[in-house]
This record gives sequence, C-alpha cells and structure tokens, in this order.
Amino acid sequence: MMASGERLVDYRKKAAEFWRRFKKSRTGLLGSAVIGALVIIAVLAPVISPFDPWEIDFQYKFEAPSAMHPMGTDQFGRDILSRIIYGTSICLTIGLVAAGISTLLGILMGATAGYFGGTIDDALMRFTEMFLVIPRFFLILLIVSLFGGSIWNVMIVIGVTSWPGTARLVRAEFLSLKEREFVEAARLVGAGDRRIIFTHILPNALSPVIVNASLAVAGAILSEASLSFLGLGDLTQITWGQMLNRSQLFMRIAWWNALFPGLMIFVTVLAFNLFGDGLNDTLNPRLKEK
Amino acid sequence: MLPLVLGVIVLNFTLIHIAPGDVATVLAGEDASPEYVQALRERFGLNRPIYEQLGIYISSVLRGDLGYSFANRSPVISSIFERVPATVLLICSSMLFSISLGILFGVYASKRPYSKLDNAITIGSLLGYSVPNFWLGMMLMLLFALTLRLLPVQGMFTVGVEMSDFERIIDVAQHLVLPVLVLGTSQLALYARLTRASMLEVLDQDYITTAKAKGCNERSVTFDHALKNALLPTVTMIGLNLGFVLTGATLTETVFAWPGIGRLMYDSIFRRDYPVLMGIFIIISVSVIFASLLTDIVYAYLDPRIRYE
Repeated sequence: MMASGERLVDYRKKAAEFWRRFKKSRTGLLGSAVIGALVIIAVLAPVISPFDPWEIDFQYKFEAPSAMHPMGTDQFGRDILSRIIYGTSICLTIGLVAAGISTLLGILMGATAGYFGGTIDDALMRFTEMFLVIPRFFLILLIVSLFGGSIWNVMIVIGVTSWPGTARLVRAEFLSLKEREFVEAARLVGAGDRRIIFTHILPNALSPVIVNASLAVAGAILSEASLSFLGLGDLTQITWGQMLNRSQLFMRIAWWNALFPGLMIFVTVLAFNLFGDGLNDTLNPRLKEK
Repeated sequence: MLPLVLGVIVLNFTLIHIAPGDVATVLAGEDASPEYVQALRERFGLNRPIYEQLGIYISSVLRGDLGYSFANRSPVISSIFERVPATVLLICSSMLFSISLGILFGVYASKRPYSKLDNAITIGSLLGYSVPNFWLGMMLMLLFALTLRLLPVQGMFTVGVEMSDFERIIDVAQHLVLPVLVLGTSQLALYARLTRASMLEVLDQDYITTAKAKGCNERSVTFDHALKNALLPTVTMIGLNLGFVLTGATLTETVFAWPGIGRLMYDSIFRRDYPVLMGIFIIISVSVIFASLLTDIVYAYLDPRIRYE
C-alpha cells in the first residue's frame, strides 16, 4: 500500500493542465466570470445593496427605474435592486446544495450498481429507471405542496429527485472501469471493496460527473424558480421566482417588477450551463466534434 | 409498463402516509367536510394494516377513482379530463412548431458547421435552453399584447362576443400564438442541437459520399439520404421529452391563464386541494410512461435493426 505522502498523481500538475485547457474555452470562461460575479454579489449583499430589501414604504410604491432606484420599486415600495442583490445568495445556495445532494446520491447509487452488478444492479437500475420516467417537476411540486415549502425542504426535495441521470452515468463508468487492470492489481494487493470503489475507480469516473453537476446546478435553480413562481416557495425568504410571481398582478403598471428578477434567473442559469459546457470541452476532449 | 404505473401509485401512497398531518385529511383535501373525511377513513380502511390499505388504494386508483375535489365540486378525474383538450391543443401546436423548425435549423446548421449561421443557432439554442419559460412568456406578453396590442393577453378565447365558427377558430389561434411560441422555444433549441449533431455524424458516412458520387443533387442527398437516417435520435427525443413539455406547459398555462391541466394545478396549489394535485401527478406520470412505451415501438418500427424480445 502507498503511503499518503507519495501519491502517484501530482494534483498540482493536474490542476495546471486543467487550467491550460479550460482557458481555451470561451463559454467556460464567460460562465465562470459570471458565477464569480454572482458569488461576490451574494457575499457583499449587506454592503452593496442601496436599501433595506424588507423595508416597506407605501409612499414610494411602483416607482419606475430612476437614479435612486435603478430597477424601480415594488407594490410595497421596496427597492427591487436591493431585493435582487439579497436574493442572489439564496439562489446560489439552493442550486449548489440541491446539485450536491443529487450528485452524491447519484454517485452512491451508480457506484453500487455498477461495481457489484448482478441482482443489486438489476434492482437499483429498475428503481432508477422509474425515477427517470416519472416527470420530475410534478413530483417535486407534489412533495413540496404536501410537506411545505421551506427553503430546506425545497433544496432537499430537488436534490433527492434529481439523482437518476448521475446514477446512470456513474454506473456506466464503473461497469467499464472495474474490468481494467489497475482494479485487478488493487484487488490482488488486498484492497477491500470500499477502498477500490472510492480511491481507485471513483477518481477516474469523475469527469462526466463534474460536468453533470454543473448542469444540475442550473437545473436546480430553474426548478426552484419555477416552484416559487407557482407560489410554492419559502415566504420568509427573498427569491427571484417569488418576485416574479407577485409581478404578474402588476404587469400593466409596473413592468420592471417582472423584467429584472427573471433576467437574473436567466443569466444565472445560463452561466452554469456555459460553465458546464466549458468543463465538458476541458474534461472530455475526446467527445469534442471532429 | 404496468410495473412502472404500480410504482407511481405506490410512490403516491407512500407520500400520503409520510406527509405531515392526518392521512384522511390529505386524501380528502383541505376543503372537505368532516363527514367525507370520516367516510374516506372507512373506505380506505385507515385503521387496518398498511398492506391492506395499499391494496385498497391501488385497486381504487386502477379503477379510475382518484377521489373527490371539494374545491371543484366534482370527482377529481372529471376535473382533470375537462382540462385535457386545452392542454393537448397547446402541446400539439407547440410540438409541431418546435419539431419542424428545430429539424430545419438543425439541417441548415449541419450543412456548414462553424459558419455564422451554425454559431448563431448554437448560441440561440443555449439561450433557449436556459431561459425560464414563464419569464419569457411574461416578456412576450408585455411586448406583443400589452404594449403593441397585436395579440390577446390571456385566456383561450374572447369571452362574451358572438362569433361564427370560423371567427372562433381564428380567435383561438390568436390566443394560441404566444403560449406556443413560449413553450416551443426551449424544445426548438433541443431539436436543432440534436438534429445538427446526428446530421454531422451521418453526413460523414460512406453512403453519402456514394450518393454524391453517383450524381444526386445536394438537396436530395441532404433530405432523402442523410436526414432520413439522422432523424432517429430526434424521433426518440420527441417521445422521451413529453415530461418536460408537460412541465413547460404547466408554467406557460399559468402565465397565460390557459384553461388546461397546468392552470388547474396552479389553482389547486392555492386551495391545498391535494386530491387534484395527486390525481394530476398520477395521470401525467401514466401518460409519460405510455409515451415512452410508444417511443420504443415507433423506434423499432423505424429502425429494423432493433428488435425487442
């Protein structure tokens, strides 16, 4: 067995190699720049937002965009720009946590099915297939309406309903990798199943999973926005989807209520999709078209 | 197909039982009368062992009994079926729009890969894929209906006006334009990307070179020789996509007050009308399962190399 100090893979070298290839992808760079900007906005929200996002002042309701309120005000006279700034961190958190949950579950399911094969594989894949066929959004909607729409519920529900794609991906990688010589070698020197799965096979199966995770963030953000838009979100939080939900009533008199929150959802989802696209070009170069 | 349907019913049953609150209340919906809740308790044998309850539940759902909606004052199944025509009209029109244009765009993009047109289509499809369709709907409504007043704002037809049948059709068609555009956009992007990718693959093959060599014209090679084979993945996608289309339809119907299943769902969320929400979930899941079965059959028919035992 190897001591931890003398790893065969030099991670710093790998990172440099990754960056050398990633910076060639224009979509990837654009996506990561936007994500970076969003993270900065989310972290600095209390510092950069011009007003208190919760402060109600009917005197200023439905003010059109102006120098004082660049994105206007809503039906309670709250500053929309400030609300959008405060909504950023929730949007990112939901996307990342939900995608994290679904990726982890997908890895566990896929690895177990692919590595052990046989009856376990059959059973798990039947289960996965069922979840692949069931229209996911309707399931999420049903669960959230039964269990309530707190921010944690929403994240968990989106996470635990979105793993099947990842599971299938991981399973396919495991099926081919477990036949390779290095796995055979690890088994010969006495490594157990868990060690083989997590330290030998998994690191080699991660590229498609990482790409998928980035796209899953985009999907989760879109799902949460759709839920909030349908009125199922967490009413104690500021979310862009909820702002859009309310804005429907005032479309005729205050279009800025509808324009800006939706634009933010669009830009954020697009950024994660672009980032995923860039990762795909970097990590799976053989898939790139001839 | 039957195991999948059973799986959906069991999943639904499980959700009812682990949801917070009394099982009978969840089954009855929040508006139900106490007598009805009591009657349900008896009918579903809620004091009997859980596997008996499951049996009763499965058999009643399989017989088409999805409960009674107090908010709509009618059985759930008829509240849902009432809304089917509007949703089917919306979905079919948008599929017609997205599939035909998507394939066309995909073919043109594949003819000159990495040209300006191809890049425009690639970027357009990425944008179409990322835009929240309910927001797109609101923006189009703002522009074309509220500001330019070219199209009706909401609903499926103009209410309270006498019209001949022909005028009625035109009226519905006008109401249909924006929802179809919204629902079709993300799908259009998908079909364009898919067709482009499989066309590029097919155009690379030897029989295309042969067709060109024996003097077939460009048009015939593209459409008769290449597209016919390149369409397979696209056809599969049409069936597998029904779930996404239905999701999109729900949101689109909400924005445009289109009187379909999605709008019923939106109203039921507010009323906490659980029987309707669960009924919609079951009906939609069964349709999607059926569509995927149909896709397999069509696929086997189109591609004789594939045979199912």
